[in-house]
Amino acid sequence: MPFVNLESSDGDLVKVDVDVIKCSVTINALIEHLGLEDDNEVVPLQNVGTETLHKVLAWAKHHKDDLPSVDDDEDDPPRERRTDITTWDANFIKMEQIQLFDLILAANYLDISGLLDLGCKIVADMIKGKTADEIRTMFNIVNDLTPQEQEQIRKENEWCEEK
Amino acid sequence: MIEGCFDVFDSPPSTTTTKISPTTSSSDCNVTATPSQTTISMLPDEILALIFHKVAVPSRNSIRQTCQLWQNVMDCLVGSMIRIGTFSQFDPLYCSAGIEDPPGDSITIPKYHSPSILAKIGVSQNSPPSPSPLPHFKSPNLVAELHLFGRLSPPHFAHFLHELSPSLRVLSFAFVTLQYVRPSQLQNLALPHLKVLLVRSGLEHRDEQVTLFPGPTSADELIETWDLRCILDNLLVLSHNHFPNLTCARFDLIYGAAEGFAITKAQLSFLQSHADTIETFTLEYSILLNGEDDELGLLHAPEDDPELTEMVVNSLQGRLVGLRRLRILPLTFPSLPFTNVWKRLVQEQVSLADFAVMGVCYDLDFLRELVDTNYTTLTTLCIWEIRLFDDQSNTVVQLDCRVFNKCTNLKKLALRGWTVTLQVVGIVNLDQLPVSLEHVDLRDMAIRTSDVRILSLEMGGLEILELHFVGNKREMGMDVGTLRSIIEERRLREVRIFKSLNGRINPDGIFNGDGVYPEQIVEMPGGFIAFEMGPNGYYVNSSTALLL
Repeated sequence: MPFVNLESSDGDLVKVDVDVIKCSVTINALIEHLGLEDDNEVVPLQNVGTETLHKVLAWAKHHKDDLPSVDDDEDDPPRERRTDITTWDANFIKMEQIQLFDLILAANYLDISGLLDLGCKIVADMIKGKTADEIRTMFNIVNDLTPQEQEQIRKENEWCEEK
Repeated sequence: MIEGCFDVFDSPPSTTTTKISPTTSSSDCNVTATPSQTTISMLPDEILALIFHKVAVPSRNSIRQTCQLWQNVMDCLVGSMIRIGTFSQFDPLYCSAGIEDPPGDSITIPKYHSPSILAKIGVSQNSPPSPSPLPHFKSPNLVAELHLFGRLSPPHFAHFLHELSPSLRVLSFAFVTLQYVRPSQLQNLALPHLKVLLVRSGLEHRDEQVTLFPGPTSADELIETWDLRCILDNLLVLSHNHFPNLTCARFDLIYGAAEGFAITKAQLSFLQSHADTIETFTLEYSILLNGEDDELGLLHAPEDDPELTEMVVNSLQGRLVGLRRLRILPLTFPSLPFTNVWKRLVQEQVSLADFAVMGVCYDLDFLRELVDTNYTTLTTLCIWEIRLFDDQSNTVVQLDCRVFNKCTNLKKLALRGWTVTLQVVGIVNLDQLPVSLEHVDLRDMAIRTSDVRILSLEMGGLEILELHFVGNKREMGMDVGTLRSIIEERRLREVRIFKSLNGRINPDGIFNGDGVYPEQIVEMPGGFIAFEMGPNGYYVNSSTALLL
């Protein structure tokens, strides 16, 4: 069964090579569970919009030949992890916050660890080196901590501040 | 520096994330975004935790001060950021951020994923015990690793072990920590899932410096504050435990510890009692040479110690077929003929992937054995402190790289010479090294610039090249032009350069500020970064881009 039809939450159908989407644990499980044998069977994805789905598929297509992250071959010691973001990924992930968070949610729902990892890294990079105020502005978060609480946190953090 | 330390030990988050409905956590969050748009507040707590986990420690404090939800999420992550006290210069964590091999090389944990990270407990040597209350783990089962270093109070240890024991995968002691633990606390440790047990001296870099210790005086002074008797007794107690799932163990020893023999025995019996599960084992031992120790105990001619040899060889038999990585690191000069060890390994059909020995002194036979064995399972071979002498004439001989020809799957080869003594081993026929090599480490080896060129330009698979130049009197550097062409022509992932180039740095080539030599150059997307390294081999600054 080389192809599967994915239905986005917007109701659009996207036909996709099973080989491409094999990185999604969720879809793999669904295919197995539903026992899809016909090319016309539809896998409904209620939590993923069309735009996001296309993004996910673009990523999956680019990474479909990546080696699995779990090293099963004990004779071959795992190589050092490469944590750098590749140029392709860096370009791919350039998007508005809204789309980025949609993508992260989709990666989580579809259980695609590589994509989830990438998304989280990008958000972590956004947070890195910023003050709490800057973080709140960037993500539009309301400060619901009372001054007392803030003082308390500051005290708690003292012991792990870099001296 | 702190960031570096955590980078080394932080593992990537578990690849299996619990899936949560996207609405789980958004209810208790104050956000001013329109409901139809996805904002960061719609991410489930688990994803927030994943994100925060990737943020380096100094920025994590800002996260806690952002809003209540984020504070709560961070508090659940507490195990990933606990640090009481400051890093001592001799703390293993501190050292690990520097020139030590990446942990992937020395501590390899196959099929193991850490769900979340670690608590780092302890205070440094020079600061008083921290008055901080014991941290309480909201999610003890998230904490997989416990690294203890510095001064520790027995209640601390009991507290953490009690809270964390069911989930613990990695337990690591800095040597000195054992001084502050009661023997009874180390008996019958019930750690059913423990995979990795490390006892590290924190002094493992003594051989990285020509002066042996990063500041010998302070290291000596440091050791003087240690109660060796107590530490070694506790080490023995610890080694009597049995951990049903242990795959990796390492017991470092303090150099010159008189009790070394007993500890070596204990290490070997520990290895045997975990033979069914163990995959990675580091045997480090230290024996005083007939009590006639010179100042450093290192320059004596080695004498074979039949009893020790017998012990080691015998311990490498039976049931160890799962062993993949073995490191034998004698701290005083070797009394162990590696040929016998090697023969036994072959005889027992142990298919090692990674073999490291220190001090192949007077022992060309070992290398000849290697050739004859045709050890194709071997992917990593490290031989440190090589001094090769001709058996008869006692003159220094050159190491011919053709001996490695039959190791057809070799990915990493580390050959380090020994510079404290005057002999430096010559190395020839570098172009005959197996083409499968990706990582070549030739510190303290006398090689010519032309050889470096062959090595780095003609070995197709090479990704990491480490060179340690001695400079000045025993020239073994290379000119900056060659280095440039290597970096320009090859897409090496990393070039690590220790010490200086020909004893000095060409000011228009690689220079990083007054009196500070860049000692590591790392390929970055926009060029190369030269890291300054501090006197103890850690990064002190990574801001200067090297423009070539």
